[in-house]
Amino acid sequence: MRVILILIGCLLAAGCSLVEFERSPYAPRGFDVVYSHQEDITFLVWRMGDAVDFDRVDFELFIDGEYQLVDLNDTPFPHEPFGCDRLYYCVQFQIPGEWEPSEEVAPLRSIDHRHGIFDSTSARTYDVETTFAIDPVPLRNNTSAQAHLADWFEDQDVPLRRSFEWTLVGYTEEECARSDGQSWSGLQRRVDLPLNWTNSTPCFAVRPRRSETEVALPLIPGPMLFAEPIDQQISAIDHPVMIAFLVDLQVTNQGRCERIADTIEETILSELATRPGSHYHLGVFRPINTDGEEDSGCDQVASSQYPLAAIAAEARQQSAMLDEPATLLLVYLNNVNLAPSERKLEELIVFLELVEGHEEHPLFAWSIGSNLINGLFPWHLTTPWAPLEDENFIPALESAVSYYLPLRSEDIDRDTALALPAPNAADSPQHFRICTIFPSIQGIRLPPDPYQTFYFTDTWSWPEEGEPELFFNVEPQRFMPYEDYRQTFISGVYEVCDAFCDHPFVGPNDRRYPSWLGAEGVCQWD
Amino acid sequence: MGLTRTMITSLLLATLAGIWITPSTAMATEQERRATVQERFAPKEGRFYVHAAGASLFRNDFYNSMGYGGDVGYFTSEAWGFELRVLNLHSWFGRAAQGIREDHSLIPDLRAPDALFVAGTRYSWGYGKVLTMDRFVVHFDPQLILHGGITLAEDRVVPTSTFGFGFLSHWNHGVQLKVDLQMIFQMERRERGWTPSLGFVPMLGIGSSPPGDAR
Repeated sequence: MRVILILIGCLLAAGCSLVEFERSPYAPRGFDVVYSHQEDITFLVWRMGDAVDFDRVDFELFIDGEYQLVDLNDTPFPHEPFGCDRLYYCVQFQIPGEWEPSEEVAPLRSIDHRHGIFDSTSARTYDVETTFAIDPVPLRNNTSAQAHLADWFEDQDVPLRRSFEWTLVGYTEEECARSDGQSWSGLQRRVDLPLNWTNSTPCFAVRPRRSETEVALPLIPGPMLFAEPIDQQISAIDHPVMIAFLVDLQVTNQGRCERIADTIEETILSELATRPGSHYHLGVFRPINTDGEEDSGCDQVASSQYPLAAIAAEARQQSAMLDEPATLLLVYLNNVNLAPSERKLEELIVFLELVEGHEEHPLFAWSIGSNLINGLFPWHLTTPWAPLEDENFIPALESAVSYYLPLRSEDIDRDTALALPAPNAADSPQHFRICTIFPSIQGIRLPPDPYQTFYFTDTWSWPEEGEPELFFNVEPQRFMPYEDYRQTFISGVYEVCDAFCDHPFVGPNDRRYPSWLGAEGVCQWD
Repeated sequence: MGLTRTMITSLLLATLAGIWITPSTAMATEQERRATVQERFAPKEGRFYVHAAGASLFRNDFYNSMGYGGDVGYFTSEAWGFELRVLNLHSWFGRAAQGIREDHSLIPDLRAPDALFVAGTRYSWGYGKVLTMDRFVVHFDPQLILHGGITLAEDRVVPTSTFGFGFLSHWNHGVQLKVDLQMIFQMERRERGWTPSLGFVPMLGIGSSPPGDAR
């Protein structure tokens, strides 16, 4: 509304423009004057508005009592005006020697060919001893170097555009030689060093381009470091399966009873045949009656007993012929929803406790039975009894076999060693450091020492012969159900130092360390 | 004194005549019933015209702005014409701005206008003639003008529109003189954002359009 009223007023007054006054983009401002004792140069930097057209403006400095036109190209470090401080253009000019800005009159003024002369603001003066310095350090196994240039202008946010150059000069009698007649190269954040420069300690020299002022410091070789990955997968052992069926059913029809037992046996065996590893059928066992003869296994006589000793004997005999631990899979069939006789119960308890945790043939007990039977013992696996006609019964047996069998173990223990070979590029390894590793290390063996040493530090001397070996603090998976087994990987990185191991080096995040040997826990190649 | 009275009388008569012979939108269809006092001396329909002009820009902006340029146009009917206008402006600080610049290095936050490029329409809402000094008969069109375009102001491009009133007078051999009195409205993107300005642009021009038979 206010604007509308103003515009109506303007209309009546034949025009208005809501004018406010602002600093002209052609008026110099933010005038920095820096005198460097090191370079004996006065650096001038001033800002102009970002709308300035430099083709229509000249600059004059108040020198020796009068304004003198300056040629921005006729200066030690010429540079065209550049964007700075977000909203401005910065203009730089240098005067050899020391120049003190006048306090009586504007030390600088611009001449806008269209609107006239604009005076600068007063100058901010700095008297600086050193405007640039270096702290060179070699990188990447002495193939390159970083000057670590300390630039006063950059540190103080005084915009100055100039480039530097570098060279290597001699180092004699604890002094760096002058670079007379040597060729210089543009200084980048990293520069490539010549081959074999470590044979003699040279000096790393830096100077601003177009300047004779140079600084030089000895370049001390850095450690020669080579990283190697550790990437090993722990293999799995699929244990052979020795399978025994113990049939104790209550089915009146003899033929149907045998058909049930046969179907279950064939289903499990045929599914087991598709699984990795080998399996051995110990047989189908039925209760023994008082006459010492085998029952039909279909009429559950309370006075009979289970032939568990025979099963154990078969298992012992079979496992003796195997090179590796096998699993004894006992499949117990009992469809009656009543507990078996006390005698049978005791036999089962004794058998299960006896075989449980057996080193040679650990037991895997699988009950296929009524709910009561399945709840009698801590079976390894239970499957609820169902008629053969139940469409879910046979698939349940098949999926149980494919999920659980064969049982698997990790092929590793606390005595399993992982050797660390020397990197190809390391001619004469002196030390090595474990940078990262999983799982954790328990011990280390450095040949020819035959014994493990407790792993208490990550940096070790390279053994005089052979390769260092690592021992891991692992709790291996043993006889795990097939699908529950999880593959384990040993992964990590170790770094081998070949030379200059106690020299300074640049670690991760460009942080500098006085000695690689002393920098516990830090690897160059992280 | 007598001359002044004669001029005022003539102007009044001319205005009345202009009202009587004002072309309307129905002119094309009701040509025969138009209240014609006399035939037109200089018809414009279907004719191009070219005018050279001098102009000034007043915006109360602490600048002095004067310039020159020209119009090129074409009348599609006796009432409606369309034209292009180019003005080259010379702008410099007024005395007040000069003093502020010298003392404080401050300048107005709008930029000095350098050129005006606009296009638009010119509507003749009447036609008349006036006898001056008992000797000269001046034929003229009172016109309404509306333009849109841009102003170049140093590094800025400023959206611009002008609107106003003009007198176009017709002389022998197709010579035309005109006076345009226009308001100018601009939106300039300054440091503080888009800001309007309003001004006045008087313009005096001379040019030519092919003469034709009186109608």
